[in-house]
Amino acid sequence: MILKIDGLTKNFGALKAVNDVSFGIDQGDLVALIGPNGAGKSTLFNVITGFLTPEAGKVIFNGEDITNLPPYRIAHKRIGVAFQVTNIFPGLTVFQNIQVALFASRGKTKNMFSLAPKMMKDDTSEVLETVRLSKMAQTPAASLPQPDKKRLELGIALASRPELLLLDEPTAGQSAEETFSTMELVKKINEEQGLTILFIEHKIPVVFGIAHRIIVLQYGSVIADGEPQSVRENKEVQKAYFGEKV
Amino acid sequence: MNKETLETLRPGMRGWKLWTLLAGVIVAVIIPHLLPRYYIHLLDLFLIGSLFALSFNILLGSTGLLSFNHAAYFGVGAYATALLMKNLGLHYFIAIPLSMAITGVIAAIIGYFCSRVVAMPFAILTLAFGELLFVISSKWYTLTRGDDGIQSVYPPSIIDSSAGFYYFTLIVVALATLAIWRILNSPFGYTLQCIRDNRQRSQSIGINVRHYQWMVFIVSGVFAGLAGSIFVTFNWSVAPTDLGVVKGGEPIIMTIVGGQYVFGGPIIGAAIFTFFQFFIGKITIYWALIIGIVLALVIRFMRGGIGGFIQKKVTARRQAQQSGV
Repeated sequence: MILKIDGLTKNFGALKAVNDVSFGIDQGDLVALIGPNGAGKSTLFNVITGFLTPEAGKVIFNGEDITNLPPYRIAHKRIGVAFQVTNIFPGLTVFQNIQVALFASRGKTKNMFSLAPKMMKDDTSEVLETVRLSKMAQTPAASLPQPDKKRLELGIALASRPELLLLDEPTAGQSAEETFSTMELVKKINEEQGLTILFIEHKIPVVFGIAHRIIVLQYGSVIADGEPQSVRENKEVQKAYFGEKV
Repeated sequence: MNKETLETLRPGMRGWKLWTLLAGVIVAVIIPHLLPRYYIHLLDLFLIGSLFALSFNILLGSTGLLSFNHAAYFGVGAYATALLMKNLGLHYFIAIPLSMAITGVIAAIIGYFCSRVVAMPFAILTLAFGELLFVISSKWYTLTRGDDGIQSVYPPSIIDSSAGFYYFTLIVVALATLAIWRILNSPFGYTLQCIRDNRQRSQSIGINVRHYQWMVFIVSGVFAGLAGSIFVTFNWSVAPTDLGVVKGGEPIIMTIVGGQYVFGGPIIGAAIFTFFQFFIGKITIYWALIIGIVLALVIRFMRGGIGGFIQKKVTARRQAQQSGV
């Protein structure tokens, strides 16, 4: 088991955003985290990545307790994340966005004397190829169209050579076609690179199309956890989340 | 324009750049023999101002941190050089690197606290520490000689002529500029830009933002200290006003007017500031008012400063050429 969430609780005042959540994720798995708005999905991600401190519970990654570590230390443990709201470096070019994530993952960011433009060009091109942004390499990231920004976000996460990839709504704001293409990409990364992926998604058909396993959150608690078929047939999920049969 | 045409153009463009550089070097070398002494001093001031503003812009333009009293490090460099020369009798050329190290230590201590915050709290904290140094420089009479400052800090005989001092300043500022350019184009420099653009994202790719803010604070302080070290022998003295808040406003004005997102922006700003001060200062004592108006106009109509404006025009022209318009 690569990730183990054990009794995790995060409160915002009286609101229990994440309430005693426990689950584990196996190496190489492709797991979806779904639930209505406000179910606590993004909060859970923020606790795992160290941006929020939980009130109780533990996050165990590769057998090591990473709860309460600062985000940059968690990144060093090789957990990559792509955020819900596009989170890139707008002042850099597409190429530099990936390059700097590579520098960070290889511990090169303290180097003050080498010329950065000449470094790690092949690795950068490889990541750009994976996320299909090679043609936009020299474009300033700020001027990318929204779907490309989401792919760049994914590229930044991949460049940090993660063992676990957390994707918060990778297809947010994308058309049906773009959604399909992004999810194909996620599936490909999982299959070809054997990367463990936990992703949050609102587009239900997408989730059932690719996830090996689905975890359903509601009011901060896990109400279902299992293979797509069993989740689909789960009465509680149908009633509480979908409102009707899916 | 097709690819072949572009290929044939490139060597020409390279040649054009080379000729400009060569012409610049020749002008820079022969200029002290063409101009009256006063103007050479003005050029010295411009060069020192450029380095001071460039050091400041490592924080503002590259990392997104506004230091409200960067003159603190300029002043520490100047005082350290003066004290090492006057009290310990060290040679100027030995005092310079030692002063840079001393400025680095002071910047490390102050930066340790300042790097814990960003935006306005950062600006206010730098202001507070700057004032603290100002009070020390003006009140600790036995060390700093208070408001009188330290006088008679002369450059060594080898650079004692106006042309000699100009060449010395030119070489040191050119080397320091090259070093700053290199740092900003290194993986460290890219990391600073990441922090400027997006702190949260920086952390999530493994960057310890606070640590890098501390490091850049020291780097920026050391270069400001070097500018101060040159200034003290240019001016033959240093006084508390050289590390005061008014002095701290100079690199801010230079950088905003010249353009914080263009490497050469602070240099353009330093040129405008220095020459305005002289030429308009000859006409009216209210020259600072004119600088203020220029600053207001630049902020209103040229957000990226004059350097940013020029860069935008050049980029647009290049794109037009490439698309064959």
